[in-house]
Amino acid sequence: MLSVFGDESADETQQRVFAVGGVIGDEDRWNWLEERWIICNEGAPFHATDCDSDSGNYKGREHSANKNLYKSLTILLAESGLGGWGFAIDLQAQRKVFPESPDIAYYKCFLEVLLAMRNCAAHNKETVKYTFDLRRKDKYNAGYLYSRLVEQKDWKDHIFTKIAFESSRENNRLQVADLFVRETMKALDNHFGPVKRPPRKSFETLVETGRFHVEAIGEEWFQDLKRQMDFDKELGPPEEYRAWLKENDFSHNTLSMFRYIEWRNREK
Amino acid sequence: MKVDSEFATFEKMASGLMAIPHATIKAKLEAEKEAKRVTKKGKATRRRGA
Repeated sequence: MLSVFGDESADETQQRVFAVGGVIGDEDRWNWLEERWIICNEGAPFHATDCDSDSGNYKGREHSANKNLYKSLTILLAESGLGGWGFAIDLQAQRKVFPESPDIAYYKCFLEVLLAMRNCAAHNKETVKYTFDLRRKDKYNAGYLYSRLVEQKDWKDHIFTKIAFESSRENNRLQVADLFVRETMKALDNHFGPVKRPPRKSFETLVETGRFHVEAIGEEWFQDLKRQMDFDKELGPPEEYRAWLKENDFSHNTLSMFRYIEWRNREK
Repeated sequence: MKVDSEFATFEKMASGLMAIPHATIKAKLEAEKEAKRVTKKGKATRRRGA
């Protein structure tokens, strides 16, 4: 069985880039890395953004010590034999093409990471178990989406029946995912953000292994999606949704909207 | 009504952004780019030959 640990990351304004990333591998590789990860961090929980910006628990430490720690952990991850897949969205491009878009960047990135990891497991004739960082706001909705995937034919043979959500403070492997997804997010932000920067050394170290991949979607991608959507099937009237909410005694929220769409697709 | 407008935009995005896998659009865009590249190359070859 393979295990995936996943996390999300956004730029400091949460307006430019959003990313979700997962790190995948078998138990031997995870154990190899975890043992060394704990020693490097002297038992303290690692947080990539804080370490990279001398803040939080890393405030007051020598800047060079924080940089060296980040570098050492990146090299460890590169040498671990684990792989990673990250998916990032250019939020400004999304807003430009779909100005009224609801905030579903997390779910899009989440589904794409699940799909990439499922494909990896299928390719290796394995089953994959997912553990994601506990993100209170989206935990239930993400759990719901996962529960729908488990029932699908192409998925159920390769994914574990349940997804776990845990706190990265208590899970070293989620801290590994935190580092990788920060690199995913920074790679896109350095490219599309207000200050253009060359790729980070840490990002290059991971990508050069050939086992870490990042996909990003920008304006061209959203424009193409919009063209496809213009020819999409006719959508249901909102009044039906309101009647369905009333009938089932549900409140209007993201989970209800996911449920309703799924229910309607099943009914048709 | 807020519920109506929120649901309408959510439904639209869910049917497109969520339901269409990234790989589908990526493959299409790459195929378009490749086709443009081949056409451009063909035109340049014809110009040189003329």
